Amino acid sequence: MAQGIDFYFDFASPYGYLASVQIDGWAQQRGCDVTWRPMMLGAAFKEVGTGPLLNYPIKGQYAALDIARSARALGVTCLLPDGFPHGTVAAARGFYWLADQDPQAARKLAHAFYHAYFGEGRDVSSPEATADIAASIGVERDAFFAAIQTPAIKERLKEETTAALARGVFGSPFFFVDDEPFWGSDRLEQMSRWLETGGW
Amino acid sequence: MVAPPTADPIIFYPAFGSPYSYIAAQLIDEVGQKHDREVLWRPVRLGTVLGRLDNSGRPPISPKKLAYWRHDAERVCRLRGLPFVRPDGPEPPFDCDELYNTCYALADGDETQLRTITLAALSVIWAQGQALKTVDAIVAGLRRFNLSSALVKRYAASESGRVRHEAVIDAAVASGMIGAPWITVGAETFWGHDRIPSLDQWLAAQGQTAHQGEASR
Repeated sequence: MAQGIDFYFDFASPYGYLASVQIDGWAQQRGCDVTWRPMMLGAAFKEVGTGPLLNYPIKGQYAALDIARSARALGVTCLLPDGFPHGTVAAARGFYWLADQDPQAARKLAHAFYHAYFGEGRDVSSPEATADIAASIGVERDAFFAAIQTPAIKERLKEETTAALARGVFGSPFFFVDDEPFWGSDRLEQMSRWLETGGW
Repeated sequence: MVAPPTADPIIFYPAFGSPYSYIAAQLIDEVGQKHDREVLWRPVRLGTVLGRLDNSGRPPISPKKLAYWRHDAERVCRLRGLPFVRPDGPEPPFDCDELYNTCYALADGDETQLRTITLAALSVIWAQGQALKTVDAIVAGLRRFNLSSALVKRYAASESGRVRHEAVIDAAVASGMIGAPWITVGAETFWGHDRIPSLDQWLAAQGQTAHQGEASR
């Protein structure tokens, strides 16, 4: 059975959110572990010459419909906060800072952030609001707030993003099952097959 | 499942240059049968549709994304046991206006014939790896339809071919088409072979609503 599953996502990605609400149950059913890897999708867009899906006039309309329909099918709410999409580097930086100490807490932060941002449609992208989310899951707010402003953590997120792009990531969510790439929240079923069969 | 009496048909817009359209073409009829919906096949040239959407010129698709799509389309075909051979030699696009016009002229309004020739052309390009981007290639690739160069040229220029394809382009653009395959049921739209499960689910929900409506009458 394959063992390394990496989940790349941006905190401002609606399809990333739709993947996040499925991935824990999915991994648990299959007895595998998933490494969460937030990244800066803007860097990927720059590299491939695209932009946020919802910013395209006609494609954006379709994407809004598809996101809402996909969310309904999963039984979750997906609301776009006013001013969407926001830069969500504070959440990504905070994630890595926490992950180094306690990966479970980092995952909890990711769920809490996604829930506030898309589940409740609140703009929680600022460092202050992100720190409030961290506090809500029991992280010491001041320590978190200070940590996400340090040059070291800023550099860390850049490095993670550079590594993701080098590996082939160009969208969110993006998965690797070992070295096999899968793009999109709609590819979990194929990933299951890949795990079961060892690939085809 | 019984569809409501006024059930909209499934309009399926494949593009010959799209491997995902080839994949969707193998799946769409089953969904139509399952939900008792007519499937209308409407091949449409994607480049023309996209050109209508944006006159400023689209940036070329990045090699990184293109490489993933190729890998993914081949992987989906292997999973489904579908033959897949990418045309080797000519540069994309692997289709041409003459191909679309010929399909519509040859079918001449016959839905079954249009489906047959569309499926055949998709298979020639994506299962046999032969691009259909010239009149000669169309004649050779669609041999079973007894075409000749003169006939294809006549079809390509004919009202029944060209005008029908243009009407389909207009309808596709009006429905919001942004990529291929594109599928519509009334005002509901679906992009990609990977949205066929969503289409299935959506039609099932429609069917349930119709049943509830009948029960409450």
